[in-house]
Amino acid sequence: MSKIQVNEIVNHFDTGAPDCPKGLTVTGVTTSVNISATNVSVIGVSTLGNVVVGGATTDLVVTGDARITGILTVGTASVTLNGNDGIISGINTVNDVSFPSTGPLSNRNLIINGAMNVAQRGTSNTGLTAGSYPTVDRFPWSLSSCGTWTSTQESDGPTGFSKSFKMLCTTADASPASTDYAVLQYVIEAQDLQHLNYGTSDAVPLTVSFWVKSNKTGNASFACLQYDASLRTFSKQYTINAANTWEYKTITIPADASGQFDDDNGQGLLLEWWSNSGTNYTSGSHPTTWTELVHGNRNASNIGIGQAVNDYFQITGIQLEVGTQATPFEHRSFGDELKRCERYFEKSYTYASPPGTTTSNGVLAGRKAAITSSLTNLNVRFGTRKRATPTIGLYSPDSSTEGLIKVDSSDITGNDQDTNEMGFWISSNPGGAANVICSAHYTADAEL
Amino acid sequence: MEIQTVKLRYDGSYRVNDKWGVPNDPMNKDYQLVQEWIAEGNTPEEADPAPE
Repeated sequence: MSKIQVNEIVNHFDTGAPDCPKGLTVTGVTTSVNISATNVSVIGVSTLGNVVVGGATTDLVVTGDARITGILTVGTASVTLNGNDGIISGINTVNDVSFPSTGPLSNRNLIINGAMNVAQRGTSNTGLTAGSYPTVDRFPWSLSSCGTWTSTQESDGPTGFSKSFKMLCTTADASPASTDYAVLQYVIEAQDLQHLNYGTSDAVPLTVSFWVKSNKTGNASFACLQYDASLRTFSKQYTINAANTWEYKTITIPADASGQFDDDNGQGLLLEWWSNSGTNYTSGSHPTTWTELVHGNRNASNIGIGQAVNDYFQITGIQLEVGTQATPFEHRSFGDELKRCERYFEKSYTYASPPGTTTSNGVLAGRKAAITSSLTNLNVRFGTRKRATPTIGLYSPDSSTEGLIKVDSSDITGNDQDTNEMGFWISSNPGGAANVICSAHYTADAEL
Repeated sequence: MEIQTVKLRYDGSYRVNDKWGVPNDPMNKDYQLVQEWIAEGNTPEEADPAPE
């Protein structure tokens, strides 16, 4: 191959760079080169720095249209734009809003009533010494010989939240016995977890996020258990850094290729926020993956809320979603959340009246048969189909005592009959007088 | 629910603590508690006749 060695190449008018109407090929250049032309091919250059197209001075400026026929990788965080398959991946934030790493953009939150807006059972419940659903729907306070508590639905929350769930200790347990515990729980129906693919190599991780506030600071435990997999357990520590301050926490739950959620309406996944407990639940450590049940791992970081009077635990904005990225809380309407809650608990009372309220508002009423009979002619069709056949509580509109209905002017024993997921009817026992007005309130509880 | 008394009902369901109607449904959490209570050696009261 011939070789040209010159100091300068100019156009034939000697007025500037040479014209290259058929293009220009430059090979073997490993350092900078300035090229201004159309139809340019650069071969053999592994790195192009400060490529200027169109006269700008930033690293790469294309003043016209541009096309990359392969995959464009941006930065070091593996953000890729694959125009061939129409896939953009590796994006975590758009306009300062966190983006899901996988899963849907709506209906992401697997938690019902995570903003603590719905409280059908009432907004305050005092003197709690045993486990129950004390106030807000879907969130039981599990308690065993671990102090006395007051539960409230508070009109207090971090920005964006108007309600929260609060447990206030009124009688402390400074030294819980080994089996004692106080823990906030939430249970998800198993058939609603099938898309997690637990028990397969396609199992996906989850991320739980929440706002928490307490007078106590320190390390606390979050735990979860799989009911259909012999209570396989995962737990993790989170920290409450400042007293009496709303703090946002996120915890990623690893996928479990050995787990299991039956495709049914039973208990699937249990979530726990631990407050206080004895050594049966604190003696272990937090695993990095799902393990066989070890009770001592569940509250390995015991913060001890409830070891002094006026200790409190307050929480709202709970979201559980597929993927490793916590996204902004998915707010749903009150009506939407209430309807979801009613799959698990429903009452005849108006929303603001807790069960047991002395009121006729919402009461079922009818006239008994004209013969002496236990038939009340009170038939109930639930507003929402229940998860399973519910436990029924009956109340006279004149009494807060469970198990009674009103027949004429007397409160007598009432029983639900032929109860199923859609409703029941009410009998009185003893029958009481015939051809009189009878009335009753009800609660239907199909919680997990 | 802390169980103190359990009475059978004619349809196989239970009246618990003379307050609550607990169905004969294994998926009901209170039914599960009643079964645990029975397994501990307790016996429900006999059922009343079916309502007329």
